[in-house]
Amino acid sequence: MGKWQLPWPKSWVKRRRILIPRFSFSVRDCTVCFVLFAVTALLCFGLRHIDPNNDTRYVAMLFLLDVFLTAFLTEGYFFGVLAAVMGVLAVDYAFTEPYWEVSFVITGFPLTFLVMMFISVATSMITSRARRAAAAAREAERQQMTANLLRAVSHDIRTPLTGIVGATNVLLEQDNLSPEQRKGLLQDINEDAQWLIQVVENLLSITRVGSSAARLHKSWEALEEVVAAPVSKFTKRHPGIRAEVKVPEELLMVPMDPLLIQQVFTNLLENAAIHGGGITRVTVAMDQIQKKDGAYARVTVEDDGQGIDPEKLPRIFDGQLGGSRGDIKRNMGIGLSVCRTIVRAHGGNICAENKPDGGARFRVELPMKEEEHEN
Amino acid sequence: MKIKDKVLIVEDEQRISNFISVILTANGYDTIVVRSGEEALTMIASHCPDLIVLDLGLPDMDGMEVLRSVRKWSNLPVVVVSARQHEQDKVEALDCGADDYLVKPFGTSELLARIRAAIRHTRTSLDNSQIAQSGKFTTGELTIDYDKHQVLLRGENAKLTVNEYKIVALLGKYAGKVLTYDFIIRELWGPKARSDNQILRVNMANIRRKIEDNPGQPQYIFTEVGVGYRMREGD
Repeated sequence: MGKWQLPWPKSWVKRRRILIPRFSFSVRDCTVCFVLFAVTALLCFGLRHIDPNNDTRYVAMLFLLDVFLTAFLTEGYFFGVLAAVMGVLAVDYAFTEPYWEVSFVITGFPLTFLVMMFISVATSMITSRARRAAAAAREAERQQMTANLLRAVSHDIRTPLTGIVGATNVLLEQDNLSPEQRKGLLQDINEDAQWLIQVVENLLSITRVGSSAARLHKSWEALEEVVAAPVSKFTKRHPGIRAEVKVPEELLMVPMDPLLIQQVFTNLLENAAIHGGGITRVTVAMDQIQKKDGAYARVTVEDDGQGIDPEKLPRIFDGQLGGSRGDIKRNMGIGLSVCRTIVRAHGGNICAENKPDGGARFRVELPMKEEEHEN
Repeated sequence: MKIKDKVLIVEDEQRISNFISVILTANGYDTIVVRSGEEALTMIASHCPDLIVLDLGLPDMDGMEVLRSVRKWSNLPVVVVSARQHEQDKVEALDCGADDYLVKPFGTSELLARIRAAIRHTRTSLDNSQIAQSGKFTTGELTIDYDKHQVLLRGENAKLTVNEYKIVALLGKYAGKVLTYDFIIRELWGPKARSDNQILRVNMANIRRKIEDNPGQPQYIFTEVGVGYRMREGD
């Protein structure tokens, strides 16, 4: 049997791929096209009734505007061209003497038609080019983010895996270990595995933000309930660190994806425990603040550790912490960058600073109002 | 001799079923391990286990189908263990009659606690035995007095409103088990109530401010975010 062949030359396939999106048909574009046309026609009829002199020079102008708007608002060339054809026919048929007849007799008919076609094609070209450029810029930004993330993740995964493989090798090959040594190694393996779980949860969060494309799946949640679980998990994992939650008198309801917001606080707390430099207590306080664009729920996470290196502070959420010397310590870079991604996707802010009396302070602000125009 | 409870483990991943089986045997249960939904259904019919640990991702069918077909004829406790962590999956499984839902990876102590709770609930025909005997439910310093319709904290009346009491009483009746928002709303306000859980959240916030020392770190009523609430196990 020979190789399976396409029933048409390969060059066709390429060309089809380019053509299809430009002549794509959508109900929305169709509606836009016909509504604009109907509005223009009605406007012309209305003006004709008002105007006693029966001067119809504005008709061509209005239809030109219709063609321009259609080309501007729809995808590809098709509807712009269609509007041009319909516009010329309408001008000829309904608004030029003799009325209600397609006569092709107006002076300058071909010129009107050509101008309309030109406007339509040029507008379509410009808008689609601008759209493509914007899409390309978004794509580039996304790729950059994915690349950063992958780099951080591969590091965050490799380190604990090395630990696990090493410790298991020792356990399998060394028979003369003391029970304490064995237990110590097993504890390390357990910790590394727990760490890997964290990394995976963060990756899941990213896909959850990314997969819903335009919108997060938000619901109204009580902030104190969402914060409680990460705190209690943290207390179990780090019994030596005192965690304290301060809840305001009134209940704060915030529109959010609760699992994602929980991930934010899990990461902030873990970050404090790992990079805080021997912290003994961490407090999570909630309150409500008023900003120019509405009310925000604010959560402040404070620890009593060594604080954040001032050099790293400006780039702490970029996901590239450690960078050149990243192999020294477990990297929480991905955790903090995930925090920022999640908070921003909610239309909120996150910031970090050092407290004057020592220790780090992270603030998360989430809007308490559902945004309507989020894209 | 004490008769051991028999647990059927439905899990296709051998490493996971292995460790579950080991930990359950060590804690005084008999275990049977099966790897597919088809096998599970036969074994349930022939062996009458006391509890099923059910994985949702099975090679031959969705674990939810196993759950649904079991629920057609039996009240046998089912603890779902699954890698699906979305709230929607949890709510669906719980509403289909699962007694509990654990997301992988889970700790062994957590699994044991959930299994104990699930078995106990079924033994006492969904009513807490403690309540049946004394008309009271006690956990820590919290007591729900079902005869007097009161909730006491360290012996003092917590002064809950009627609705707040109803919520706490319901959670106490199923202590240790997650009750979904929809379930609580249906039980309290009837099947036609709008499943708007805002009112429930507000009530819960008020309850917590009355019975918890710190509402931000609850000791008695825990939130399963996006799913529902769970009361701490009775003493």
